[in-house]
Amino acid sequence: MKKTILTLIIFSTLVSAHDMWIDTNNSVHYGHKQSTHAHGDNRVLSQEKMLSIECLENGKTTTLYKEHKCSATFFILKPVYYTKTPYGVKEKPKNETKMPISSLLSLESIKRINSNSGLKSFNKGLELTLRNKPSEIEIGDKARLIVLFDGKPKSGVRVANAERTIGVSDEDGHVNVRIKQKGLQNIKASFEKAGDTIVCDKLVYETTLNFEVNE
Amino acid sequence: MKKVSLFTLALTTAAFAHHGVASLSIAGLEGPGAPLETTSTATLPEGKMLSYAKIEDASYTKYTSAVDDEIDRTTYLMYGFGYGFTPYLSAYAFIPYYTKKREDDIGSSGFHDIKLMMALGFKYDDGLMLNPKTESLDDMEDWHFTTYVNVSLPTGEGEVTFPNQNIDFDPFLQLTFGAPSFMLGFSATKWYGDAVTLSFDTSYNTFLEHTYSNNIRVKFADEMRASGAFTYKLYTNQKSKFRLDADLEANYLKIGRDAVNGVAQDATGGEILYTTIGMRLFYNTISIGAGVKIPTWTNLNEDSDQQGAEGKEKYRAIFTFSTLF
Repeated sequence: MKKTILTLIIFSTLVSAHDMWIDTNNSVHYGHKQSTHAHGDNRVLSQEKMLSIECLENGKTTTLYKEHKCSATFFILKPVYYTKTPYGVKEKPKNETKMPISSLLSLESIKRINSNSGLKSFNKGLELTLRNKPSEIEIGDKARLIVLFDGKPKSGVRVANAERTIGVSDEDGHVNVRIKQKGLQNIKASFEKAGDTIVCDKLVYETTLNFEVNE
Repeated sequence: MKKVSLFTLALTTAAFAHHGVASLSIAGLEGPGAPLETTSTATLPEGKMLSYAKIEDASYTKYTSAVDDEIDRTTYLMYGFGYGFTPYLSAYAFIPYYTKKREDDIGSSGFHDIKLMMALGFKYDDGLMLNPKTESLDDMEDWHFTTYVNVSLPTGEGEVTFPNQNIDFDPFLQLTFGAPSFMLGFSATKWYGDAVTLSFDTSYNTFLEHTYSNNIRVKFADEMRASGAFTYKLYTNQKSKFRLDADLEANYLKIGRDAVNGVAQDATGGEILYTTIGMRLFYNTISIGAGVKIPTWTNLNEDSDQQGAEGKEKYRAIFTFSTLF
């Protein structure tokens, strides 16, 4: 019984309960960046988890290599199915799982903007980018964001900063976040849409934007 | 992620003695608080309607044992409807129902002049701009402003008589100002991102002269108001969509002298500073406010003769109800 409850909790929070962030060495961390949820289970995601890893360099998008000095990096994780069953959550499509209760397809990505020239979109899936220059953002200022889907503005996407939902994107995909702490910013955007109910019941899109704010 | 419910609305309408004035306050489960009397700056969401009711009951301190023509008690009911034409432009109509009773038990009761109001909302975000359709909670921390105009139309009964009473026609017991009145107001709100909201407003209200059927010409005195409110969010539960705010306000009112047949009247006008203490509860799309408003400082023109006038209340009990649909 206890295991079942725990499984249900894990399933319901699977997509949004964790943080991802990119460090200065272009390693993607997975865990709980916010100290209030620190469980000691932070880890670095391996490249096998990634669908694509791209670098924005001199205004052009290329595959990321170690020697690149990227103005922005963008990691798209491989899509993962999560299907809830009476005996746990399985990472398989609904139609390949015994006794499925419900199922989702998680589509995640994460971007880090390193400089003012890294504001260009990668035009792939759900993506957050800045409309104002990161070097000019100070504590108390607003990060003026745009939510894009395949490079086009997307409205109605929930945006959260430091675990607090602060609003949804408007008709132009715009949403503003006030910066309240220095250091690496971790802003998330997410939305859901219905699946075909055969392979999965819903698709959950989530993306994270990182950039540094100095004092 | 928590689900954000940004627009549960409350609206307050202040009605001071015989001079009814509408003021507006709107807040949500998240976001800035809404005072009871001071006008906040939130406008109605585009395409949304607001239904509103307010009761204000005032009892006046008696300074003399004489039973005369001074007001003893007033009860004002205000029904209101609002509509958000755009994110920055809201329109309201208010239908007041007034009951006034003098010390000698003579009084009047009925619908008073309809009031029409328009509110234009704007904010400062790297420059002044009209309220956008969508704002994040962080955007709501910007200074927000509203300028509003209010016009009352003489739709109430102006020939209230007292056939079985041995009194003259009393213009102050009529259910209309007899002529339009005009108000221009300005409000500002600053939300500090969590529990504290500060609101400020000021307005000026002027009345046109009206000649009643007995050839008495009356011009009600102009009024100037300035208020400040401190609202504190005591409790919020997003799951049950419940929020409870405490409200503390200072409401300054300066009234000129009423004029009858062009002559400024004694025992009218002056300055009053009220203190309002109240609570506001939000549940889903319903808001209920309750409070008491007490004159804490007065500088009336003929203080000892102004029993039954503004500034001489024992209290004003205020109750509001509003819902958005």
